[in-house]
Amino acid sequence: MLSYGLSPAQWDPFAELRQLQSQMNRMFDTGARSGRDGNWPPVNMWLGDDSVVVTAEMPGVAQDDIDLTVRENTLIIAGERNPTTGDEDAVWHRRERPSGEFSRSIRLPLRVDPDKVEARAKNGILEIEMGRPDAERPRKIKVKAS
Amino acid sequence: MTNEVTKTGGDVARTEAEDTRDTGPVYRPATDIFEKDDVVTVVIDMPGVTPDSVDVSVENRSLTVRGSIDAPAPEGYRRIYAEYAPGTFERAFSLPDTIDAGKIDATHRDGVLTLTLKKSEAAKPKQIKVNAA
Repeated sequence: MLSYGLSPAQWDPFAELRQLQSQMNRMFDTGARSGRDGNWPPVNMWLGDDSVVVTAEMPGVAQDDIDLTVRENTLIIAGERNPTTGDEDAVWHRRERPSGEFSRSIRLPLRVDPDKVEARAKNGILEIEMGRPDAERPRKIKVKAS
Repeated sequence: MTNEVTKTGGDVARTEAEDTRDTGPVYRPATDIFEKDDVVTVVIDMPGVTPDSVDVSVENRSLTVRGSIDAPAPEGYRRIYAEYAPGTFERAFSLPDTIDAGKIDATHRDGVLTLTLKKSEAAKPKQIKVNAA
């Protein structure tokens, strides 16, 4: 007998619940964003014909401090966010902005060519444009009249 | 010092903020405040806000910062996944009497707004000379 998907014996309702819980936590995640849990920076993803764009909110991160890695269909945004001040004599009244090392791995909806990656930063938003390898572009096939 | 008076957008950071007018939701930006000698520095994250659209105002010893996010969709692309959305950053702080409201400097760089507040002359510690009688 052919079976598709998971058989009832393999189905784990708790796995789904756990997944739902993490999704809910993410939905209600408030201000305190820490780079350690791999959720920083927050990203948006945009799809074009032969390319994909990832935009990330990274206020205060200098371009030189951002390290991008692209492999197949994975993009890794890593780097370090400098603390507001390194002055130990400063008295803190409020400290909400995350700082320190961060690394986030993002799965892309298509495989990208590492030679076709362009990144720009503007007003604290990083934009990474990645193109598909030429060999994987969808090709139009002409129908010839016989 | 520099206590927060109003909560704009509520505590929910970037998900369900209050929807107002046509400017979209209002977000409360993450803020650092620290004090060194006679200077108080306020650092506010405002990603996607252009420097000329930042509005800093002082009224009745209340300091309000506001900036709308200018993040247009990349041309020829459609959004397939989102963790942040356009809208307005807004937050208000109350200035203590020790701050000179007339001497506030503001700079905006890489999506971060930095305000430099100075303590007023009257609030600075003074040395009083003791004269020998």
